[in-house]
Amino acid sequence: MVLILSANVFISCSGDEAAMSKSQTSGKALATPKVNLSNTINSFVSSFYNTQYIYGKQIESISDEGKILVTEVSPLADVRARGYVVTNKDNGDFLYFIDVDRVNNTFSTYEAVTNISDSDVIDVNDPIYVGNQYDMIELIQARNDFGLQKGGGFFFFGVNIDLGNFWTNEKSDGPIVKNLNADGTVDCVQVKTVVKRRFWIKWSTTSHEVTVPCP
Amino acid sequence: MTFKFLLFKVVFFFAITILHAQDTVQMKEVLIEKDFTKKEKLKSVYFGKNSTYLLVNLFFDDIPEYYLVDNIPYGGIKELTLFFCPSSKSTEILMENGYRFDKVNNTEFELTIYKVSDEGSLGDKVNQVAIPIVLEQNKSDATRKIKIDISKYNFIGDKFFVFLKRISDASCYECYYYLPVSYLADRKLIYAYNKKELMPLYTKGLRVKVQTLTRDY
Repeated sequence: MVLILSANVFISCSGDEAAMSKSQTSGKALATPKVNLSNTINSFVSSFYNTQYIYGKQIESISDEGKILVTEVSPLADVRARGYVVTNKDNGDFLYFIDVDRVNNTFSTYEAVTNISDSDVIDVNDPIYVGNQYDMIELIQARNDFGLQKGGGFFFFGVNIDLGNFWTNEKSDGPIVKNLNADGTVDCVQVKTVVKRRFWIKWSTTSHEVTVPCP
Repeated sequence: MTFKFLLFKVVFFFAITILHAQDTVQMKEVLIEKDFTKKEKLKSVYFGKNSTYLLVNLFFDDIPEYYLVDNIPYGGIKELTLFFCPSSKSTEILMENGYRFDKVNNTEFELTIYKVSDEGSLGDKVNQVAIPIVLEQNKSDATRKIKIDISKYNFIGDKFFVFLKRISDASCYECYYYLPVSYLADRKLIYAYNKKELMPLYTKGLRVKVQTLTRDY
């Protein structure tokens, strides 16, 4: 079930496109078509890294949002890929981008449709990070090896990957808790939690402790 | 004359010696608590890493809270990094569309650092003039990191209180503002006034990164 399409190396600076001859195929030898992402994506990546970069391996898969194509990006100063561009496999639309900064232990995410970016520290104790330092090509490969059905889940470095949550903000409410104030009044608080999943991985959890009407 | 003078010096010497001998204290043991031969190093301590807990009720109710930051290696505290994340008073807005939004309003604070008194309460101010923190309007939901250089205050210690006073308006019910990021602690690290007395009330702490020049490593 190897779906690595190509590993053409593509160098770009300020959005200009110049294919290079170096090839890095993984798995069986495949035709290596030139990485061809839109100028919008090239501009975004160029602006994000503000340096020359190389497109590396590509792999297609299926998320709960449909067929996707993931392309890895390596800024020239970095030995290994750290950026991952997700596009719609059918029409090439830019969907998402993540950057895994393994030196400063931070990750950044970008959602093209909402134009919302985010960043936070990496939980270096996350078993997936311990296992493969968030190499997303490996993760997608494991997902493909699991089978291309849309539902269910599979284990990756001991973590259950729920295939319904490629890029989601999951909401949940905690119990309502009564607090007795010093003046004898009672307040009720509830914790509302949003778990951000990116590439199915739990990237961050934000808990909002709010005052709510007492039941 | 010379003999008398010499005699006087000898008597004086013995007298001083006897007096000093009476004052001599015998020490059984000398404990050196700090190794001053060790070279000072810049160390960073990160409290509440990977946790994003927002005390929405405290922020919007304008309750003054003081965050105790302790267990820092003893030394000269050089820099603090505080973290801020968006939230809204409207729980409907908060959870609508999965915590996605297009604007976080400008939010401003004044930061005052206090020493910890011998009784464990608020001590003297480290900075006499409050330090302004301005989080400008933004469309990103990213956690904002604010680094504050406090080296000029020459503050040496291993613990302190952080007081963040919101000075900008936050009256819009359905708007997002930047809140200081907390974390779930194993003891009460947030102090607030209860019947005019400052007491540890909340089992949470302030997410903060502290840089200190220390020999304690």
